[in-house]
Amino acid sequence: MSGQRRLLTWTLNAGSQAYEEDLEKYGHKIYALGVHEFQVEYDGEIYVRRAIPSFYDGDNYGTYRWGADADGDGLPDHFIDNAKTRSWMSWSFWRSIERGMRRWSHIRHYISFILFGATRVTRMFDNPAYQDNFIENVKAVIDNVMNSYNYPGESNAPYIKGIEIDFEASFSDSQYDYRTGDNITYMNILKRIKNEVCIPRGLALQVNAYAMWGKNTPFYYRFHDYELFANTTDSQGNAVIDELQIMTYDFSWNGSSPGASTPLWWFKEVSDWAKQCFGAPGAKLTMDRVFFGAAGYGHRWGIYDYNRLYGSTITYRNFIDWQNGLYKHNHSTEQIGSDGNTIYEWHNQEFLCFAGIEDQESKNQILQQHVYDYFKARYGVVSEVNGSPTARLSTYNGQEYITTYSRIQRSEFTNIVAESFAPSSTDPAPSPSGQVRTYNGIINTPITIKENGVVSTRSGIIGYQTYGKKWIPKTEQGVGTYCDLVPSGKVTYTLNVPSAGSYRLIALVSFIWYNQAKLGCILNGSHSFTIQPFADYYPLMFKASHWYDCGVKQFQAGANTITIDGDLSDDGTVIYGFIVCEDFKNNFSGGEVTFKSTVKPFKKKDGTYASVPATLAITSKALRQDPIPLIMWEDRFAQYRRVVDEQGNVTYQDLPDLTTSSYYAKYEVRTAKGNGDTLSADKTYCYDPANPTYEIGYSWGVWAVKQDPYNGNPDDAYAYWGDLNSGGRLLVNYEFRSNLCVEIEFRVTQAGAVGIQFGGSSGTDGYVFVADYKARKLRLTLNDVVIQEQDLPASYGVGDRTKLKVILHNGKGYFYFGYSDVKAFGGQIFDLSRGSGGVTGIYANKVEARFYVLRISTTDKWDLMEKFTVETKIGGQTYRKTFGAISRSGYTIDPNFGYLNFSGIDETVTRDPLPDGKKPEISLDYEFFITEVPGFDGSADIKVIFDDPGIWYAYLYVCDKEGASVTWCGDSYSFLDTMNRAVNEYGAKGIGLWTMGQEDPRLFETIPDVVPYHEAPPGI
Amino acid sequence: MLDPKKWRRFSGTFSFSHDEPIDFVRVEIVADDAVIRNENNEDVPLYITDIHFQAGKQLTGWVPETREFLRKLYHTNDETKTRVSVDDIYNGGKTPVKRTNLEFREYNIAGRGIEVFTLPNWYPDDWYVQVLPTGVDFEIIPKDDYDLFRLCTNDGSLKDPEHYYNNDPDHPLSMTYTREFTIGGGSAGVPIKILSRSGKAYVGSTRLPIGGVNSITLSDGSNFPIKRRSFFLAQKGASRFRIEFYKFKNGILQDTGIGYYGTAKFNQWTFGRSRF
Repeated sequence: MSGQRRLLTWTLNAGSQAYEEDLEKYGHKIYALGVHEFQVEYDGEIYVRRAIPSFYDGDNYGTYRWGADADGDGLPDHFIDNAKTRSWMSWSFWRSIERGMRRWSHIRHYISFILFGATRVTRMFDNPAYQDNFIENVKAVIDNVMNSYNYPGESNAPYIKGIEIDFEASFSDSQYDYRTGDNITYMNILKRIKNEVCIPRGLALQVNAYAMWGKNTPFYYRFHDYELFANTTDSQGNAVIDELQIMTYDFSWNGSSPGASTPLWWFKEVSDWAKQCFGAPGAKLTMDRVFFGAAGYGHRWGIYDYNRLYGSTITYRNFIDWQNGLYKHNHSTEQIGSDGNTIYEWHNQEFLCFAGIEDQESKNQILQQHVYDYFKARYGVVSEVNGSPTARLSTYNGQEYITTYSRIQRSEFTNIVAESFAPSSTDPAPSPSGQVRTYNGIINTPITIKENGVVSTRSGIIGYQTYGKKWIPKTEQGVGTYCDLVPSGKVTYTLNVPSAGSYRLIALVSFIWYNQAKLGCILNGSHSFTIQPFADYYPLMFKASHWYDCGVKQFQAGANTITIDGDLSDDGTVIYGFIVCEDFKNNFSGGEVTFKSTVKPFKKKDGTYASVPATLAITSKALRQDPIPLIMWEDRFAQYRRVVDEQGNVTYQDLPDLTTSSYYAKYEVRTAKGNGDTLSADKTYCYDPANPTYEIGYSWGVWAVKQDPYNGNPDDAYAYWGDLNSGGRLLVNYEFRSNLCVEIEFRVTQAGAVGIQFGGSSGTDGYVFVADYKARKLRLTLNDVVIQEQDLPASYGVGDRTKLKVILHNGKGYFYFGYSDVKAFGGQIFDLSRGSGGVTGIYANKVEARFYVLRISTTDKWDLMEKFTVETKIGGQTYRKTFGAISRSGYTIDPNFGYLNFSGIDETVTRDPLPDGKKPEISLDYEFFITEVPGFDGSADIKVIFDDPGIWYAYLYVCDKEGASVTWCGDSYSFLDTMNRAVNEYGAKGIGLWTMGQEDPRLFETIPDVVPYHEAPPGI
Repeated sequence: MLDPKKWRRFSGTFSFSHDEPIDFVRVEIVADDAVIRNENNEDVPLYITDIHFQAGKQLTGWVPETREFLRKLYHTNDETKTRVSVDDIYNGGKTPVKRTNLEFREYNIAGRGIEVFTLPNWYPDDWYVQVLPTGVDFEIIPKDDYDLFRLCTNDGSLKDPEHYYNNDPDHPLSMTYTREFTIGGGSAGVPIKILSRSGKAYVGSTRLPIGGVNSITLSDGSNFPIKRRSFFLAQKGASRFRIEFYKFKNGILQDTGIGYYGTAKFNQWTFGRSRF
C-alpha cells in the first residue's frame, strides 16, 4: 500500500479560481503536478503553450515563435530557446505555478513537453536532426525554469523533480497504415531524454501514454508500446520511464456520441494489458509506478437540433449549475453587446432543476436537461413474425442496443381470396423414403399473415417434398432381375376462389440448399410455372420458410388445383402451401419496435408546473453502417454446437468434423443409383453405365467446431484446423456464379499458413490468398504457383485475431489483410483468369488456427444498413419521418428485397455528393436523429421501423425542441471507483486527474494525505 | 479540543463466501501509509472512533451526532449568474431571476424502470461549506400501472441465496439496500409520496404504515416480503437513490420500463455550535 493511492494532476488551469482554491485546500493530497506549459514543434523547437491562441488550428507553431509578431502588437512574441528568453515568466500563470511550488513544497513538479499531431510526430520521428534539436531545447528549457523569475535569487530545483513527455498522435489516416518502427524511435527518444537530460540533473522521467488494450491495439496509437516501456533500460540499468500515466479518459468526447469518459469495460481492457506488460516478471517499469487516468470534467451534447449535437466540455461546477437551473439552452448571436461581450439568445424554456442519473457501469452522473421521457432500447416492444421477434437486444462495449441482424420478410397481403396449407392429394402417399415425403421444418412455428394491416397466424403447417422418377430393381423374392421405372412424386393443393379473375399467387416454400431450390408447378392441369431463386444471391435462400411471389395468374371460380411434379422440381425442395390474393408486398426489411411514451410537465422553482413545450423533439440515438456486399453465405459456426432436445432445451457440444454436414460436404465419388435402367452386378440398384458415378462436395481434411474459450459464451465458436503436418480445405458445397467478396476472420495459434480459396471449380484448383505466419509472407497463388508475394506486416503475430478478404469482380482480384481497407500487395489489382464465382472457402496448411467467421457475399448487389423510420400519431395526425437514407439518384433499390442495384467494389460512387462536393459518409459512432411533433401532455405510441437491417438503436428521447441535452460527468464516486480498481485490482500507484480545477472537489476527500495540511509558509 | 473536521473516514471492501456462516471477523489496523505527524513534524496519536461494517461496495453518508446543534442553510438561486452580456436575449419572456434566502431545493425527476438518481446536496454559494445529511421528500408519479415499487439507497448487497428473487441472483430484487421503501402495485397517475421530513408516506391520499409491515400482497395474490420501510437522507455531494418499478411479465416481476416523473425536495444543514 505504501506510496499508492497517489494523485497526479496538471497546471492546465493554473490561475483559474477553481484551480487555485483546490490547490490551497487540497495541495497536501497532491503527489505530483505536470507543468503542462511547453509545446513542441516537429523540428524540436519549443513554445510556451499559452502564447499559442486557443483558436489556432494550423500545423506549424512557427507563427508564434519568438521574433514573430503574431498578435500584431509590434513586439516579438514569446518563445523558449537557447537564448533563454524569460519575458513569458512574468505572466500570471507562471507566477501562480512558482507560488504553488513554495506553497506545497512536497509536490513533485514535472516539466511537460507536448508534441501533438501525426504530421508533427512523424516528421520528428523521421528526422534525427529534429530529435537532436528537441533534446537540446529540452535541456535549455529545464535549465531556464530552474531559476525562479518571481522569487529572484531562488532556485526552483527543490520542486522540479522531473520531465514529462506527452507525445500524442493518431495514425488513423490510411497513409500511416504500413508505417512501422515508430515505437522503437519513440522509445529511443525517451531513452535519450532520460540519459542526456534527466540523469545528469537528477530528474525523473514521466510519460503520458495512450490507453492501449493490446499490442498495437488500437493500431493508430501503436507507437506507444507498453512492452518497450516496461523493459527498456537507461544508462544505469533502470527503467527509462520512472512513472507512466495511462490516459484512460476521453473515450467519449465532444465529437463522439454521449458516454462516460472512462467506461468501465474499456478501463478493464486497458488495465489488463497494462498489467500484462508492467506486471510481467522482470519488467523494469512496474505497476506500482503506473498511474491510470480519470477526467475531472464532463461533456454536454445537445439532442434537439442538428446544429447543436457537437458536445461542449463542462466542469463539475457547471454540472451543478445546470442541476440547479442556472442554465438553459442558448446560442451565440455572434453580435457584441454594449458591454463588449457576445450577446447570447436564451431559448424559450424555463430555468428548471433536474436530478441526475447514475450510469451504473462507470458511476458517472448523467443529466438529461429538458428531457420529458426517454427509453432504453430494452423498453421497446418488439413486433413478431412467425413467432420470433423482429429485433433483438444486444450489447457492444457496454452499450445496449436493439437491432435486426439481417432482413426479415414482413410480408403484407391485400385481400386474400383463397389459401391452402395442406395438399388435397399426393401421389403416392407420403413415406419417409418415397417419391413424396413430409417435412416438419415449421410444424411448431406460427406463421404470421398480415392481411390489410391485420395480423393472424397459421400453425401446424406440414411441408412436402417431391422426387423425380427413378429406376429401381424389380424384385422377385428379394433379388432384382430387371429395372422398373418409378414415376415422380406429385403433390396437389386446391384453392377455392370465389370469383374468377386475375390474382396474385403466393407460395410458402423453403429452398434448403442450392440443389434443393426448384418447384415445377401446374395450375389447373395446363398452366405450368416454376418456383426457383433468380440468382445464387437470392436473399431468402436457406430460410425455414418464406413467401414466394409466383406472379399474377388466372383463376377460375370455385376449385383451382396446383400440382407440384417431382420431375419438374429439384428433389427435396419444400412446399408448404399457397395464398391467392389481390396484392402482395415482400417488405423484406428490419424489424419494428414500439415505445409507449408519456409526457408530463416539470415543476418550476416556484412549485407550480411549467407548460409542456409547444414542440417536442423525438430524438433517436442510433448507429448506421455502410452498405456491404450482399451476403450469400455467412457462418460463425456456433449453430453446429447447439443441440436442441424435444423440449426445446439447448445444450452445446463440439462437432468432430464439419465436413460431415451438407453445407461443407467432403469431396467424394459416389455410385449413381436410379439414373438408368441397367441393373447393377449385385442386383441391388439400377444405373446408367454412361454415368456410373457422381461427385459431391469439395472439402477435405478434418474440421472440428469448438467453443471459443475467450469469453465463455457457448455461442462463440470457431472452425478448427489443428494438423501441423498437412493441409485441408473447408469449402462451401456450391460453385458460386456471381462476383464474390469472401472474408475470413481467424487466429493462428501455431505458425503455418491460412487463406481463402476461390475462383476454382473443385476442391483442389483455383486461387488461394494466403497468410503464411511461418514464412512471414502474404501471397497469392494459382494452383500452388505463386503469382505475387509480400512480407507479412510485423505487427501481425501468432495469437492475434485478424482478417483476410478477397474480392473477385469481373475478372479483377482485390486483396486485403487485417481490418484495414488498404489493399495488400502494395495496392495491386490482379487480372484473374476467372471472371467471377467458383468454389470457395477456407484454406489451411500445416497450421493450428481458429476460424471465427466465413462470409461469402456478392459485389453484384449491396445491402443497405442505413435507414429507419419513426412514426407517431398525435391528435389524430400521423407524423412519420425516415432517417439515414443516402440519396443515390443514379441507382435503384430493389422493391422486393431492399438491396442496392449496384455492381462494383466501391459503393460510395453511388452516393450523390453533398453541397460541399463531398460524398456523404456514415459515422462509425452513434448519431442522433431528430423529428419534431407538437407538444402533448399524455401518451403516444412511437413506432421505430427498421427499413434496413443493421441499425443499432440505443435510445429514444422525447424532449423540448427549444433545447435538450445529455450530459455526462464523473464525480467523486466514479473517481473513487477508478482509484479503487487501479490500486486494489491492478496495483497501480494512483490516478492522474486531468485536470485540477474542473473536478468534483469531494474526490480529494477520498484520497490520503501526502503531507499534513498546513498553512502557507510566511510570504507565500 | 478535537476538531471534528479533522476526522477522516477510510474504507475498504471485501467479499466473503455465502457458503459458510461467519463466526467472527478480526480486523487488523495497520497505519502504514497514514500521516501521523503534525505540521511541526511531531508524532501524534492516531485516534480511531469506530469500525463499521456495511453491506455493499459504496460508502454511505454519515449522520451527525444528535447532540450537535445544526444550522439551517439558506441559499441563493441566481439565474443571472450565467448571463453572458447585459444585452442577452431571453425568448418567450422567460428572463432570469435572482432568488435569495431560499430554504428548499427541489429537483425534477423523470425516469423509466430502474434508475439511480443523483441529488446535488452541495452549497455552491460557498463551495467548501460543511453540508450535512438531510432528509429528502420524494413525490413520484407513475406514468404506467405497476406491480411493485421500491425506493432505496444505492448502497446494498446481494441477499442470502435462500432469499434470491425467483432463485435468480442477477435479478435486481435479489439485492437488498441499507434503506428501502417498498410498495405493492399501483396505478398510473397516482402519486407516491415518501416524506422524510414529516416521517409520512402516501399512495394517493392513503397514508402508508411504516413499522410492522413485513410483507405486502402483490397483484398476483402472492406475498412479497419487504424490509422495514425507511425514509431517506442525502449526504453531502451527489447522493444516490434508486427508484425501481416492476411489472409482472411471464409471472415474474421484471423491469419493463415503467415511466415516472416527480420531484425530490430537501433543505440543507451545516454545523451549528458543538456541545463539547
